Amino acid sequence: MKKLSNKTLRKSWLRWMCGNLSSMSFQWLASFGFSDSMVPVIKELYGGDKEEEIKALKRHSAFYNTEPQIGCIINGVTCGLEEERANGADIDDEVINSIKLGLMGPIAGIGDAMIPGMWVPLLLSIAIGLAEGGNIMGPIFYIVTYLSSVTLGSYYLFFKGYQLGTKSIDMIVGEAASRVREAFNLLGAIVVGGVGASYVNVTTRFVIETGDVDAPVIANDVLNNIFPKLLPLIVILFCWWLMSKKNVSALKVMGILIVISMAGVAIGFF
Amino acid sequence: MEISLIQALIIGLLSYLGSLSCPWLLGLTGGWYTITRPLISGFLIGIILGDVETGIIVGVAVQIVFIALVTPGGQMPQDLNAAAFIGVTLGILTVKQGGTVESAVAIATAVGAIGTIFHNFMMFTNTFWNTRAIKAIEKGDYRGLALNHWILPQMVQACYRIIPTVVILYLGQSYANEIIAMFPVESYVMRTLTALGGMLPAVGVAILVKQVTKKNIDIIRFLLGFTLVAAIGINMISLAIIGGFFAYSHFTYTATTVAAGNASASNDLEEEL
Repeated sequence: MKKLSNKTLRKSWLRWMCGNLSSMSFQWLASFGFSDSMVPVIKELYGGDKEEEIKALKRHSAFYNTEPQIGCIINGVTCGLEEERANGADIDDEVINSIKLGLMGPIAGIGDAMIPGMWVPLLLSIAIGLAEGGNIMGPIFYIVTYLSSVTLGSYYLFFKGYQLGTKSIDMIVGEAASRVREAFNLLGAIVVGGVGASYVNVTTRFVIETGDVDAPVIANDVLNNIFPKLLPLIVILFCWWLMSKKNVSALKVMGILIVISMAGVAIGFF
Repeated sequence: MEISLIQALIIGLLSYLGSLSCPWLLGLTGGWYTITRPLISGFLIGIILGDVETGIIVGVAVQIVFIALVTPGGQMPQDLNAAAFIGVTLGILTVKQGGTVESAVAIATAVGAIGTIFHNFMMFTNTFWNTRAIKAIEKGDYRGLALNHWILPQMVQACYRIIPTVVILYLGQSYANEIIAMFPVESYVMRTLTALGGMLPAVGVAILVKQVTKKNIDIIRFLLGFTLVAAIGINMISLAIIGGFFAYSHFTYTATTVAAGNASASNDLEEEL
């Protein structure tokens, strides 16, 4: 009965955390980060049997991409599967690959929504408040809270994935999980709304002359009286519409914004 | 304020350590998501240049532009790393020379846009190391895999980050001042860059909205958060608590109805997958 030692599992976690994107390219992204993180596991389970070692390495060099920090749970699950396989369970390459591929999508979605979408902007917003006037508490707060929460969280997820094994697949793509994801999406959407209202800044200099020199109509005030921060909201919804309805890439949307700001300044709107 | 060669080198090294693919500071966690946040890079550059306060002030201003930046699948609309190190340093220089914080933000934004070249070039050249890594895997050559995954791509990446940073900061600092002096705050170029800097966070926000909404009507959740902050002016922690309440209620509420409508739940799941 082969059993992965805690030391090996810790090594695998650390290799993944550090090296997940080390050799990233358009074609492969985190593939070799994944295969490299499996090296200590493969050595312990199949050490000596070169043929099995090569087969295992190949198994883990398929295309792979997910949110790496939350994604630690997939690495844990895979370590568990490899252990079962080495003990003679009927798990072929196909099974392991389809589990990895099946999990990386949902985890990438929820991970991007949670880490850069929610946790980073939330901590940064607090840190920006603390940093007022150049106070060093701001950056220090962010460094301490982000590093400790994410490092501990991913370590926990990795070992949770390993312990639960295939049961955690239910945890990630099962019925309860889809409700949890839906709840996180809801929370994410609300927080992102706050980020948009706080940090997107669009104002117009446009002024309508009324003949009365002392009381021109300032367009920006009129718009803000209709709905506060109406212009930023319009810009956000415009970008969202372009990306989700017209399938325009983020890079092209930026190009469009550059054109809009150039034209807007030229006609005196901004 | 002048940047010495040593200072430029240290900033270049930090820029490399904070780049997206660099593994040495616990990967993304300590690098990309910590020291490459302009708030943190401003703080660190402030320490190096001996003016922490200005560093943080410029860092905060640049951070706001990039607060919601997400990089799905390694695609980058803006190179945060170049903005955080080259951009923030140039911004600090500008402010020390009497420029406004807004022009510092404009510079960082421009640098961030140009910086995507470094990132895409890295993604492109890494394909070469990848093909060598595949060969190593086929032979079961662990050293070859480590070499082509950890060492060689990182040596190239270090060059991509350190060389431009040092060259621009050390050799370019005098030109930078002249260029900045050519474009006063009210000039067309600066006004365009300032307007762009105000709009840029919208791209990140929109990417996130796209990710967290499945149906068009879900946009109402985003509007709720937006309205609470824009109209009522609550802060982010309060918003997170209100959002947490709704998320929790949503979770509990769907739990009771799921037994009755199991079929619809599995349909939802299929759509998501």
